[in-house]
Amino acid sequence: MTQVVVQDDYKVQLEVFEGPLDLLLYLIKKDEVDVYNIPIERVTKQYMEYLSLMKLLDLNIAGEFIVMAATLMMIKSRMLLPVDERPEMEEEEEDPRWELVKQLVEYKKFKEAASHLQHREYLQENVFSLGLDVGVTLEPEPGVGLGDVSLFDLISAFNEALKKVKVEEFGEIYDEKFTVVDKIEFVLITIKEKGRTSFSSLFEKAASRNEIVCTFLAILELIRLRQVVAQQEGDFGDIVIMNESVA
Amino acid sequence: METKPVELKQILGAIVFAARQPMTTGAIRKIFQETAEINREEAALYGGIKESEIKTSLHQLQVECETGKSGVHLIESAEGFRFQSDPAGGPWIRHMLNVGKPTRLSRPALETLAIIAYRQPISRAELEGVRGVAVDHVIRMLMEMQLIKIVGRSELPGRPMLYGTTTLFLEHFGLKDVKELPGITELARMEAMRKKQDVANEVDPEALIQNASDQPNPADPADEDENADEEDEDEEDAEDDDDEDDDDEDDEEDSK
Repeated sequence: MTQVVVQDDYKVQLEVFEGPLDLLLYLIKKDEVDVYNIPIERVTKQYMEYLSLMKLLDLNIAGEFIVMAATLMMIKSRMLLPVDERPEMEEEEEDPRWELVKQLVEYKKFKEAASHLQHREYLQENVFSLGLDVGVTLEPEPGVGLGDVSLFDLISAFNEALKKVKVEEFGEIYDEKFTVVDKIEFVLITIKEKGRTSFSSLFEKAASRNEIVCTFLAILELIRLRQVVAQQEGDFGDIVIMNESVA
Repeated sequence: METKPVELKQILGAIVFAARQPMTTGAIRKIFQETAEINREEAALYGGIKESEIKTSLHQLQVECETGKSGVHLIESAEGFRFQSDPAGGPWIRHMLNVGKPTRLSRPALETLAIIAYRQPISRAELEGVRGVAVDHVIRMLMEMQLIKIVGRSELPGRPMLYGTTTLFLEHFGLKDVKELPGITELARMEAMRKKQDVANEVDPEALIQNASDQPNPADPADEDENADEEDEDEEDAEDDDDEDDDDEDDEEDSK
């Protein structure tokens, strides 16, 4: 994996509250594959890809992500073996994927329940009543600006931007021209001018991986600070970044 | 007495409107009763009214408000009946009252909250089992927001704290009761199944260790028979195991 050194002057510490199950469900939804019949090889490959992207971004990856990577590898290897040659395991099911599938299906149900709650929350914030404090006042929570956009949607978009960059030429050493601070300014100015901008357009002029990483971290930080809001046009559509007050 | 008597729903609507706080049917019944005692003339009309009648009448009023598109809804919240504005008017009211942008919860927070709402009372370990990732931070945040609270301690080893949702949670999402959440029975039933499995998985190894560590234990065979039987008994066993472990530790300290 290519190492990209992000400058130290502005170290972004982003907590990730999504877990490996979120990532797996995201990949499954993205590829429109059947939860009950996961193409384990492909999903494992994609999972590892996202994991390295998250490492590249220096996100605080929970240990659970690594455990899940190991689990996926184990399932993959067990599926390669014919049933009677698999090493004995306590209460092993016919299909080594089954345990994981059960967990995913259960979690998916709760994700749907969470969508229902979110819908109610949006409805309820427009309701006012006598004898009730105006709305329920909650502390602003980082990550709310993401709305329906999941962290993994953002990482996907980041990956797209990365792929567009020409392969870096080796042999010459440039100055580190980009910092997250500069990019935060750049994003804010762009949004101030237009009010909103598409996620991908922020990367159009980027020349190197380093620059893309800086821009991406800048966007994440701005979302965390509730300066900007990310919205997605439909499932897996283009992500739009806009001013907090516009949304 | 030529004039038409006052209809029940008229009075009910007036009471709920003037109350400035959610009114339960019980409280309303008490008002009728007390008013009838003090004022024996026209107000004595509904002195002996039953709570169920009040409820029926309020529900009727509720439907009328909704169909009339009056901009006002009568709703039954966790704390009782009250009037509230039609959500359609939200943007204008928000501007009028000068309330800023509404505070919303992030997806991970909503998901954790959903699991707690459906599975309460639930321990952190169980939560993490479902979400597959640590939830310490999210729990702390939800506690600060007073959307969840500690509702007790589990009987399992370590006596972990159990979390449940608060009245504020119900208010925030406009719910009367967690039972209103869709599919609550389905998800709860899955829990019962899972719990049984968990108990089977957790208790058995412990029992095995016990067998190995203190051999002459006449209670063990009986214990194992019970394990196969019922969940409740399993939990008691787990607690017993825990107690015995504690005793062992004490003994060691004493000997030193």
